[in-house]
Amino acid sequence: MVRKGKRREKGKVAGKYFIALLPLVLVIGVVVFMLTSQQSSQPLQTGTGPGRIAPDFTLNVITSSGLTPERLSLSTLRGKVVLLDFVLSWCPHCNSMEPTLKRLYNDFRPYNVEFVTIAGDDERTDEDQTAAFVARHSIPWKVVFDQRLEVFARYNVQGTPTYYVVDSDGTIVGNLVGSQTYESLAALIRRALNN
Amino acid sequence: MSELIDRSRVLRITSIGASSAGALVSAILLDPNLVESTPICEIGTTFSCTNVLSSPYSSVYGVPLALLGLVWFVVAGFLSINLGRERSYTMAMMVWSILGLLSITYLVYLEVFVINSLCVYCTVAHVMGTVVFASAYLAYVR
Repeated sequence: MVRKGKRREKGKVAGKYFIALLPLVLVIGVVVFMLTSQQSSQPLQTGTGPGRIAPDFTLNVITSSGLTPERLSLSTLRGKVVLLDFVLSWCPHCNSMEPTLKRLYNDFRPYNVEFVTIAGDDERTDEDQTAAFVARHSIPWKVVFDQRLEVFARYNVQGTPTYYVVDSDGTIVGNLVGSQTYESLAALIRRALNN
Repeated sequence: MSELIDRSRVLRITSIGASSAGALVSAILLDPNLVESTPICEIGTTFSCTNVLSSPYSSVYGVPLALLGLVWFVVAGFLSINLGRERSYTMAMMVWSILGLLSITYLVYLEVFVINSLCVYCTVAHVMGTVVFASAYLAYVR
């Protein structure tokens, strides 16, 4: 009888600790799951996958003076390799990547490579701040303004900067998320040029 | 009796420690520049603070989630001072930590299924939140 009571007491205590520690175990489990699934997947290619036709878009061009009536469609660039650069004006890595992109632009322009920056609009930025971003970096290529983040959603952009390289047939060669080295972006552009 | 006192003291110290650590991490998360300059923050796309912190889910009506987290941990820290000592505080802490746990569940869901990335700092804060919950629960059912 006493032994039964002790066993029941032990079971109660174990139950209490189980409930208390379950959320902790679940959070750690999620981390382990994500870690193991990362090892079995390609870490740099997410969202709209390589080999697919790049979704078309038409957006207004934004310059250092503000939004213009000029419209740019991705489909009009067919026949050229295109680097799509998704940014938000406040994002630190987007700002720090601009000199690298300029170097790439100067090096690959002779090979008929076009650069297009798609600047998003969220609660931390607007038209004026995006225009200031264009002015701050004196961006020499076209910058378009994605006011409703529709193109961001179409390309499954979850963080900025995100880069997509599209070959002359309009097929996505690959995408990179986050701050990148000159070489990693150059390698993707070279691959698109060789397609 | 002394075992009971010791146990509630351990829970109190654990809860205060976890709340302080969580508040510190939340404060760090308020500065995206500081977070994104940390090398452990960008490991492929699965572990990416940039992806999480630049997502539309990083704020609610313009208020950064990190600020809400900081407030939650500070309140939890204050309530922890009397955890296991006074029933009303323990009860309040239990309610507060359930609220936190529900938020953590939703945020982890967003990270895993919507954003497809985990933020290392956010995960540390989530672990601290679950430790606070565990302490509150054990003090409550004592």
